[in-house]
Amino acid sequence: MTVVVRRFRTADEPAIERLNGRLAAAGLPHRVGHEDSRRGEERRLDTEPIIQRLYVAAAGEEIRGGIWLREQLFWSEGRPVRVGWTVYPVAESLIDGKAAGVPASLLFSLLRQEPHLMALGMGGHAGSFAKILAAARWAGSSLPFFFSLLHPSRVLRRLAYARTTRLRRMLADGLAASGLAWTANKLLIGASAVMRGRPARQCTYSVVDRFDAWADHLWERCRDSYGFIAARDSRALNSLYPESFRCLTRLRVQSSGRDLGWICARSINALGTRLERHFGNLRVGILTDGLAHPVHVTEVMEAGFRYLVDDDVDLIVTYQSHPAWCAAASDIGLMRGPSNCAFYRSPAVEDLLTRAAAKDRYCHLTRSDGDGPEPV
Amino acid sequence: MRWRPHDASATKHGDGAPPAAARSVAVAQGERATMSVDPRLQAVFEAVFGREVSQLSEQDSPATIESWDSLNHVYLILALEAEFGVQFDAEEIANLISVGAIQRRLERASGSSPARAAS
Repeated sequence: MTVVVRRFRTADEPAIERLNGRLAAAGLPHRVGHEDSRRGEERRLDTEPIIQRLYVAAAGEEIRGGIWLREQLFWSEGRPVRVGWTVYPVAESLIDGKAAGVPASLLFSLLRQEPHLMALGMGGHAGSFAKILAAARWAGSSLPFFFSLLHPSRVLRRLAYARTTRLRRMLADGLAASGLAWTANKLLIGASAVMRGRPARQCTYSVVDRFDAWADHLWERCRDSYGFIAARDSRALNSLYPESFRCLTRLRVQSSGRDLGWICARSINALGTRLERHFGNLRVGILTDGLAHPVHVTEVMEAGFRYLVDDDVDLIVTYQSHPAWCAAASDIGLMRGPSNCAFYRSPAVEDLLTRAAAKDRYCHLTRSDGDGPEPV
Repeated sequence: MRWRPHDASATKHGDGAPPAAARSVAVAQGERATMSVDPRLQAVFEAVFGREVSQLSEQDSPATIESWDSLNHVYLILALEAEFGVQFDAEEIANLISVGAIQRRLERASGSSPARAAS
């Protein structure tokens, strides 16, 4: 039966359920979703800042796979650029070799829809979809990861990574019980502070429920200092982080009454969430997203860090791509760690990044890009 | 993360190169098609799946070549496009899942045989 890649139709829902049933019967957790059939009109980027469309690989009456295209506007070289993220690809090739061509067909179909195509996360470069993107000759890199241990003893006792082997568990427990972990962490932070010299100027921050005109002014001031950045005007931000999304704190950062930037922070009790696998019952602080002119990034990031410290988290993590944000993370005492967040982009996006980098303008991505903020 | 698990060591990450020749390939035993497979097509398959696919038949498919998974399918498609100078439509990529289907598609592109497709 010939496979055809096309937009999802409401009538596909039974076939999608049958595919999901076959995947579940094979013990796989992956599922193809479906678009909200209650919305009749076609979504457009000029009326909505972010739109998602589901594409399916149909073979007669059956569905063999699906992939979401999440489209939004980026800003690059002084103009808006429509880009797409490939999100949550699922194919029957997981359980049936006859569908081996489905993932590539879905991918290349999306590329035809949207040449500026990217993918983020995917469990790192070893993830199967990341390998397919690499095979398709997309450029790949990792989104730099930074962390800071605020309560090292607690972290050593509860962080899954520190307890994967018996030796690690013994070492972690020994360091935690002896106080060596606390001492070493303090020494590391102290040495890092001495090396970076002048501390970041402390700015004031206020918690806001939504992004308003001040965020638009900031966006217009900052956007051209980045080579490639998702539209972060108030419309896009209020769509990505709606007021109803209460588990995220939006911080407006100011100095002498002037807006320097904003940063989104989250405090998550990992227990009972999908983060539990990695973080046990730790309280995890995440600097999820932010915007500032590159010269003010350190102050803005420091404000977010301070907020999370006051919120009594055990550790703070953040993913940042832009050199100024990476430098700011180091400046405020975060250490760089191994990243499992892969970033792949199509040749058209790579071309934009290369052209911008030649003008000293760089890509600003955070973990909130791709499929949005952590679904916790 | 969502495709069939694959041996990472067999893939040169990021450079788009086909995987190393030495791969575990299980070619079905038994009846082989009598129609011969074009030598250039045979060479592409050997480059992607290894020397074990030295006796390709038109019936060979992911069902008979164990390492013909979603990842190697991408390598195969790109290698075919480079070798034969053709560009497959996104949709037909999902349907090129047997040696026979690929050979027929290349024959259509060339007017007769895959050997002429590149010209």
